[in-house]
Amino acid sequence: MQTLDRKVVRDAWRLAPQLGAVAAVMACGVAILVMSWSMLVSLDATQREYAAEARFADVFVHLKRAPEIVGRRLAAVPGIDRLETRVVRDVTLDLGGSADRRMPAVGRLISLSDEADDGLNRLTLLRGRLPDPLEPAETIVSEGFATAHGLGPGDHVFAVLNGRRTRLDLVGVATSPEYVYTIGPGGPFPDDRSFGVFWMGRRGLAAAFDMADAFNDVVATLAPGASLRDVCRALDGELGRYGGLGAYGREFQTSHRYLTNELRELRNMSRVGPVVFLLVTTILMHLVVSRLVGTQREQIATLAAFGLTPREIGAHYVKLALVVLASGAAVGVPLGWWLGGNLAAMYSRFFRFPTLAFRIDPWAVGGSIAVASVAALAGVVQAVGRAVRIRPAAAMQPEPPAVYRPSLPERLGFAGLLAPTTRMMLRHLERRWLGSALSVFGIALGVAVMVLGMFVGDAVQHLANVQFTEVQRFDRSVTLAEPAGRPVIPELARLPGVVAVESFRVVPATLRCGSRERRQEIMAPASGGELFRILDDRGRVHEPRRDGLVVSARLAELLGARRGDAIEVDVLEGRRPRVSLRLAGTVDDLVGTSAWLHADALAAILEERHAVSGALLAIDEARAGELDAALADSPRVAGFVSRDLQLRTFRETIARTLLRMRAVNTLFAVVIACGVVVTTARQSVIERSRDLASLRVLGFTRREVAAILVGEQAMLTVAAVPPGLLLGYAFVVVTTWGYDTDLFRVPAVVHPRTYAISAGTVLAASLLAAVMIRVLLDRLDLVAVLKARD
Amino acid sequence: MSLPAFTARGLTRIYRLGEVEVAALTGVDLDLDRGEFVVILGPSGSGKSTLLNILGALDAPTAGSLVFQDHDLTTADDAARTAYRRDHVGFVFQFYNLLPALTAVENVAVVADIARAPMPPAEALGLVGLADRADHFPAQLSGGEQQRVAVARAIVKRPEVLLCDEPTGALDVKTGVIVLEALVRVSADIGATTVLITHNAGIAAIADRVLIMSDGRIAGERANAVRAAPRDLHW
Ligand SMILES: Nc1ncnc2c1ncn2[C@@H]1O[C@H](COP(=O)(O)OP(=O)(O)O)[C@@H](O)[C@H]1O
Ligand SMILES: [Mg+2]
Repeated sequence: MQTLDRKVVRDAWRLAPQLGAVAAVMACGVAILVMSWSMLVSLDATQREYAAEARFADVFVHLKRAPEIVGRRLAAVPGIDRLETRVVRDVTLDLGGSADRRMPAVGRLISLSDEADDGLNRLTLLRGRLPDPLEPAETIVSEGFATAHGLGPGDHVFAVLNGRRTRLDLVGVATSPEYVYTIGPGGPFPDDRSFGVFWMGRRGLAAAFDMADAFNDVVATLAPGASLRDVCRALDGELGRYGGLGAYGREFQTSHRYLTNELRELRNMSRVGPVVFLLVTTILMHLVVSRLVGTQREQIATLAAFGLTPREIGAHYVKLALVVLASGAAVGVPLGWWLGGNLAAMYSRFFRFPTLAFRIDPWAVGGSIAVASVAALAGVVQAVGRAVRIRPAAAMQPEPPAVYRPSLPERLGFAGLLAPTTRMMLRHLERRWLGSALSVFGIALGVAVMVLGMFVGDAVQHLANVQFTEVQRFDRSVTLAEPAGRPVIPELARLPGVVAVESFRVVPATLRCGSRERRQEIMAPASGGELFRILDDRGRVHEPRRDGLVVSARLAELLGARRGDAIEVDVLEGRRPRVSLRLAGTVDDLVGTSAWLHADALAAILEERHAVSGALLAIDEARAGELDAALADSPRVAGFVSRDLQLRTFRETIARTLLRMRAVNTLFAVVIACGVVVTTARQSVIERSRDLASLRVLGFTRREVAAILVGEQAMLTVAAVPPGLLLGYAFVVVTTWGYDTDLFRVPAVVHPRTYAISAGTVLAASLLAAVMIRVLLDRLDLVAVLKARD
Repeated sequence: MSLPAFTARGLTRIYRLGEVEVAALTGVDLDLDRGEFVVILGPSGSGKSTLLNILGALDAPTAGSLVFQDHDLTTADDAARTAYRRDHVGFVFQFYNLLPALTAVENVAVVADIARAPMPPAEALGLVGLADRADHFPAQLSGGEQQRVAVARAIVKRPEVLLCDEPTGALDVKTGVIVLEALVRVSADIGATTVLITHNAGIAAIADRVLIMSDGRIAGERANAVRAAPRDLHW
């Protein structure tokens, strides 16, 4: 067998460019699998370990204000293991800098329990120390905010606490399991520049907000086997009269939810992509090896004549698949490792764990290689089957000429229009219909992966466009510390630079339909407002209704409610009325879940005369700094969000990250496209070299001969592009199902540019292949080819 | 038989295989007259194919000079050699080398399409007696029929030179005679200078002149006073 193994090596070497292309495609598939599977395992383990280690709470509830004795009663609720009361307030921050360039930012101040190193949601100090309980100004800052602003121990920021500008001395930088992913009040994207979390001693914080011996936030862990639902009921019962906003479990905790969602997306990503790559691997492997067996028919017959068993002959071609597998894995595993490291680095910018290390998972590596082996072997099955069926007698007869017949266009009567060389191309493609179809399919998959890879960018751009220019048309969104009467509107309008003011009313509530319930704010925008619009995924504008709730389609689905159904609404503010509202309509919106009601209807339910929770401002940008300073200093304002800043942060973080991912995806797609095109081109040169040498002998020029193969290649590519674009759209649709969560819906919107670039790239790859064909044909040794009979 | 078609002087072809050098031709001098029918005889490996390939500009000599009419093939580049083949040469090979994707008439037409003054492809097929098989693919033809298509393909452009490398090597006697008859008749019709390689001495009788090669040189030469008709050959 040793000599035959030498033939494996020689065959592999001769076919190195094709097999290399196959291995490259396989390497991409293996890399994606290794990366996403390992990342999944790493992220999942990190999430679980961190939650356990930092004693991440199971239950959360925010309220208006309750005396501390109530807290002791809560701790006795059956099913609660450990409970902590806290003071939590959002304030506006003043980060210094000149008055006209002050950056608006919101800080969430959270009280530390006195046993901070033993409590729930324990902080992990990355730098510095815990605050001294006797120094009320000493504060710990969240890592994201510290990084975004270059802050650290020894620095300070100013915050407006209940109207008083107060200095916070930063003594430490920490992460918390509660804020692994930080979404500020401005949502829906993380923004470390305009939202930060600060932990400080309870006494100082309580004093500033009139919360001495009181609390407005509760976190708790459950005893083993306790029912989350029962505990939430009990807490809500106790806290109802203290303005409780409804208890909820981890599942609805913002940071936890985003993280879980990301894990799901990762799982999603580890499906479509690798399948495509490995499918292409199979196709290419099949093209290469089946043609190899075709050209080596006489050799195989001779070997059989000398007594080699079918098993030995079959093993010979299986070994070629193993060579490809070995090279694909040798490149793919380290590539996946490297990509995983990068992905982890990227994740650690959004997910603030104490450490997020990418751990390469042996099962992921083994699994990827197993999947890749299946792909490679599937590619050679048919050819091996053919090889072992070749009878020794075949070696004794010269191979008869391949059987051709007139092609379809000729049979349809167009023969007269076609030159003999064109007929040659058509008949060849038709005779090799399976190979031609597989080539077309492979190229189409390249186009499709390209569309899919670029779509992620399109989708996020689309989402941002809709959110930041169509939905949010205001410049500043201001939240008041307490609902106020209408006079606050002219007050805001008088602030420097304010061009227009539109108030809104928003109340926390629990919506219930049958046995399902959701905590959901009800929003009443200013009637006839221009600065905020309710838009669906097709850009249609919806209006809030007086006769019932208009809700996100996704929310209706979560509640199991249909239009016309009655929805029980518990308002969790003020008089806390309980009413039943009709579901008047649904909106296919893209971000989060919302429930809208006409301002008059909400005022009627609340029995108030148009109170105001906050306002949207259109401003004169020239006076933005002045305005931001005034808003920050206003005691009535709990916080405000600058749309420009949100957009800028979005562009600099998420968009940039996605663009980088898109670059990787695009690169992978280019590998597929080139792999398929290059392989088919080289194969056709090998297969047709005898014919083409004959033509050259007959006096055809190099250009004329190359034109035949290039023409075939062009037909395949042109045939592949439209189905490729369609298939790409299908991949996009399937992928958007995976993104369909209550946090985001990604519409299957593909920018025309994406289609153009995808098609263009594949056409460019074909051009490359054309050049390659020409070079290969120029090297064709006429005499040798005519002499050789294989 | 006045102006020579080919004038070759000191034609040498050395193959380099790593360290080893194989001299396939060692200084061949040769003049071929226009319209002359020459048969080259010689044992296997004596350099017949190498000489023919050089005459057809499929290969270039390592040393020596070769002139065809007014073309100096010694110095010609690839484009010039392609043009020479296209305009002046017809080839017939032992293994036919038809294009399997094209029918008989199309195999002929593919050459006619690029020739300057070809005869109609159907006429060329008629000359080799295959008018009725025009629309058959190579896979549907016997070896002798395929070779006659190859002859038709070689002569459709009315070449000045017809080069045949063992055209009957893969055929039985009866079929070989039919192919040779077609070749002799057609080459006379169009007045082509014809070089035919064979290792079968019996065939030599159909030539004007017979060259005997051995070890890369022309070892002997004789002229036939009378050319035999292929159907009178015995081998
Ligand atoms: N491509 C090649 N590489 C090396 N040696 C070759 C090559 N082609 C032919 N030869 C050698 O040149 C000599 C002449 O070959 P050839 O002209 O084919 O002989 P003939 O046609 O008379 O049988 C032989 O010894 C052969 O081995
Ligand atoms: Mg020979």
